[in-house]
Amino acid sequence: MSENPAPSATGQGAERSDALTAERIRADVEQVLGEPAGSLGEHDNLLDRGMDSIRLMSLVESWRKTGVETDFITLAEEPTVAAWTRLLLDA
Amino acid sequence: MSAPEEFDAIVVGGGPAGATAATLIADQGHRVVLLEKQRFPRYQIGESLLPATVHGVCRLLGADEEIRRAGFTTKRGGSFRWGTSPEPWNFLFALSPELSGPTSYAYQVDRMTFDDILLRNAARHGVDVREESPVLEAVETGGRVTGVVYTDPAGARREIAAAHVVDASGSTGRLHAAAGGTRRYSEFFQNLAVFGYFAGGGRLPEPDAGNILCAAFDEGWLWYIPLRDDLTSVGAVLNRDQAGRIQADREGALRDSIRRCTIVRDLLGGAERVTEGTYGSVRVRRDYSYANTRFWAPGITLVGDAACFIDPVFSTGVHLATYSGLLAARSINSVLAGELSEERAFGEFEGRYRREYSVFYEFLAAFYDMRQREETYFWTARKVTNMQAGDMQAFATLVAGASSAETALVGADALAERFSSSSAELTGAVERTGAARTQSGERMSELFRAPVVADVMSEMNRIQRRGVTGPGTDEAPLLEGGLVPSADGRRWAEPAAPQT
Repeated sequence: MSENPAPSATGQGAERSDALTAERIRADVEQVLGEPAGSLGEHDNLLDRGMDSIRLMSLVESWRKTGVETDFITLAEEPTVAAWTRLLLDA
Repeated sequence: MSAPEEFDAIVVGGGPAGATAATLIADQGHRVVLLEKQRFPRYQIGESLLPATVHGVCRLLGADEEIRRAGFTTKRGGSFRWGTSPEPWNFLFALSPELSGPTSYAYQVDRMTFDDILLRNAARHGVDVREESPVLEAVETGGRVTGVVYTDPAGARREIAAAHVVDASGSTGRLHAAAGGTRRYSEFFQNLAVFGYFAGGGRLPEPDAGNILCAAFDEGWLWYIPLRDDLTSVGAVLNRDQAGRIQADREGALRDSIRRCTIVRDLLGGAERVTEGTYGSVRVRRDYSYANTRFWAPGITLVGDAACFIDPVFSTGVHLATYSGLLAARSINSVLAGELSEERAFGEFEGRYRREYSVFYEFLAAFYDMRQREETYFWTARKVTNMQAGDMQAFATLVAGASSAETALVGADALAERFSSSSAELTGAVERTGAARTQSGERMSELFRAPVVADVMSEMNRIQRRGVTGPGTDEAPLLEGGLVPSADGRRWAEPAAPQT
């Protein structure tokens, strides 16, 4: 396999210690997908934008480090920035 | 004998566990010798791989490209004729057709080729590979294993010394005794396997043609592995009380099992059993599940089947081998670099390895507990409710190791309860998932959400993710108070201070 996700998927982004906010969720998603900042719609289906299982696992791992409870399956069921913001921040 | 040759590490055994550990230690610039009793390529059973090995460990080893080019059969998961439904159902590696990823497949491998690739790769990474070099015994000095004695290909007895010895000599090796523990067999999963190879044989419909099929029948279950277009590996897993009958007529026992298992019988159709060459014999193997009470002692570490073995139904043999090889290499590299004490480094090795063994064991218990169409002796004997308190205590000790046997004893009742609920959850998830190649049957969210499956997947997923995303992949500690992989994935590090 020569498939290499954007370098951001390695999780360097997660070394930031800032707490999880709606802005950070969007920025992290754009980063792992290699999309320019501000280019994703709230309700865009992220699977259509190139989200795959490894990128999603990376996001779950880095968001968990900020203390939120979440998992791969939960996020996979509603793959939009709007749903993830609700799931992660309204708990 | 003259003064022994000296190395930083001696690895005994050239299978996937040994090749993994040796390569990852040599990668850090250490002097590593690997002693293998046979000459590769050689036959081995355990042909079905999991994604964590293919996309995780093999990438760390730098062997993924060569494995990709070898042309092994691609599997997207396992198909099971297991439980009450007559239709097979799928356990796929991808969560759904939409959400798959670069690691959502594995391979069926002929182990002669696969193991040889990993061993030659180890040599290219600087490991001094010595074949036809059986190890006779461990050398101990002042309560520490300090080397081994082996026979070289010319028949001369040689002693070599090293700071660390890795025992990767498989289920039949005897070196594990030098770690000071005993091998505990599960009372519960004392299965025997009788297996052979068929020229041709049918395939499941695409896209499942490359999947392993595990099919239950009254007296046990069969594996059906599409190794190549023209070669199928078929094995029957039977109760140990069949030993006499199997020994008297191996071929008859295998054929009789096939005859009694409709789906496999129909797939094989008129395919002839291979009767010549490497694949030409019907073989028997004791597939008892076991674990040693000690996985390490000063100077020696046990990996792969030398440490533990779990029933073949989940294709875990090579996974546990390469995973433990990776863990052992991280611990040895950390100690050789002077970064961690042996207690700390090997405590992490043993803690993670036992955790992985125990989550698969719980999955195994739940899986065999699923209601079958026929409640025969083989299946009722494997019900969680038929596990005695003694079995549970033995399991708890087996999982905990010698270090925390006391905690294990109080946990037996709670464990029985947990196994029962794991089994109920698994049965429900399989029913809701439904048959293979239906809309629901392509979606694994029910299965992945079952707690016992989630536990099994979590560490394998981390290994795959590291393989794909490469150096610098961040991970939280797996064990409370535990370590995390270093940025290069080849040593351990203390975790960064927790974020708030």
